[in-house]
Amino acid sequence: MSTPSEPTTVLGTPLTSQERELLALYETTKCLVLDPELPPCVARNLRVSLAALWQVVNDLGLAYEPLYEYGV
Amino acid sequence: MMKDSPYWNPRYETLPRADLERLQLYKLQRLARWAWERSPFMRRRFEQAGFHPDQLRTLDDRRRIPFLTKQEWMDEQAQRPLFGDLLANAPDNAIAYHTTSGTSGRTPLRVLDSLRDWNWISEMWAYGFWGFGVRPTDIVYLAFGYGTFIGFWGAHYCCQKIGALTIASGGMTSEARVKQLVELGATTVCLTPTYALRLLQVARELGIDLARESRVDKLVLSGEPGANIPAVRRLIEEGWGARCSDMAGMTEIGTIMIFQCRDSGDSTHIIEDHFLEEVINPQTGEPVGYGEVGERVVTSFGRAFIPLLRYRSGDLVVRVPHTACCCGRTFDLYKGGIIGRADDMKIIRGTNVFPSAVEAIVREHPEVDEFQIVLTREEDIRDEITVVCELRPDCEHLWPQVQLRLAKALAAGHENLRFNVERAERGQLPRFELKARRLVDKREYGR
Repeated sequence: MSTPSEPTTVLGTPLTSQERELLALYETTKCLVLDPELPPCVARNLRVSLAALWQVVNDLGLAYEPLYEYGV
Repeated sequence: MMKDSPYWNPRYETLPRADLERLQLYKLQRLARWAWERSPFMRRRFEQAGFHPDQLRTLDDRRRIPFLTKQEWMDEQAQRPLFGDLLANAPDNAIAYHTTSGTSGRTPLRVLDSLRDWNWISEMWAYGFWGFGVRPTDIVYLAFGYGTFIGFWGAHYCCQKIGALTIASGGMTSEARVKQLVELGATTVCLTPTYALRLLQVARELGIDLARESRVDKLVLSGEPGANIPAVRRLIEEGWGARCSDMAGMTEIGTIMIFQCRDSGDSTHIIEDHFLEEVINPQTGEPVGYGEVGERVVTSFGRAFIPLLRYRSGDLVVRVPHTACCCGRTFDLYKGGIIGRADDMKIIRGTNVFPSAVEAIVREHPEVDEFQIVLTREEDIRDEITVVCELRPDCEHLWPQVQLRLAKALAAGHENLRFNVERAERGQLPRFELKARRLVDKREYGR
């Protein structure tokens, strides 16, 4: 049984430990790209990474969002 | 090391149907909300139809969303150049511009994509390429001219994502491509069916037998009907000594939405965790059931720059349940892929004629190298249909028999409609690299 606070996929299945790590990586990358002080080499490569991580979390049903505010 | 699997995305390609539909509803609700909030064009249309995203409580509620047509999109683009009010993302976030191929002769649709969209576009191709058997050890040759037409751009990046060696042949002649793909040991070639036939002709002229002298064992065919026409498929597979997969897409979604896996025979799986596909009666707009011909209507869950909901594709399809294929995917299929275009159908003296159906019959005659369908209006009233044929050089002496057999076969396939069958000189008919334009309707010019 999953508790109400337990993170789940978009279909309500509890996340595995690997999926939690992937989701955390995605969320961390989202936070990082919003930093306006990043040098170009970091800012742009992080966005490329975020676009790829978005695909991972979308394919696994961990998150589904448009990312309009993240420049990707 | 990477775990091998027949599926690119094992979880969702084998998801039980009920869960797949829950996933589609989840995505549809959010997509409709983003379109409402971010795209003025979509919001206007929703409001005119009395639709609000809050009304989406079940998947059946999708029918409250108004259909979108290509004409509406083009009109919007013409009124507010370059892109109309469709964009849901800031133009500064775009990294790719492309257009439709413009085969209809009208202004092409213009499209922008973001990094995220571009990644998703290649991801859809990856479902198809992986399902067809392309792996990191493959050498993939992309035989197209690149440019602003989206064509196989997504396939190019898909192959790099998979880890295959990618060879881009933009700007090369057909002769150079044939030589290069043999020299570099390409195992997979990605091109249109028409161009697959063209490269066979060129190879023959160069004295190269692609089936024996190349390493190609997989052909990814897209961009037009052909791979789904048994006679065309047979010609291509025999000539290349390779297996074909039909992968169909459209610029409006930027990528493919259906593909043939290793087991699906003449049918193509719908990538249902990323698309919501409906099949409707093109006249009434009402849904049609499994096994019935109808027009496909697509909602794309992936492209965010231009949200696409319930877009009338004009493609004619026959949907069948996922159980029609033994591969284990729970994605439904289109039997025979895209079987025609609602707007391609011509009526000749009361008989419906689809160019793809004519091609299917012509390709049963291996003596014919290239052909063209010409429609004319005689005495201002009587429509005539003529199939003009170019024969293979070694078959020219067979013309009288070919002419008779072909005329009979065409009539038999079209309620005894009389077809004129004429001969063209060698090299007279055009060759194509991308989408073939084999139908010439001269009736429009005479009006």
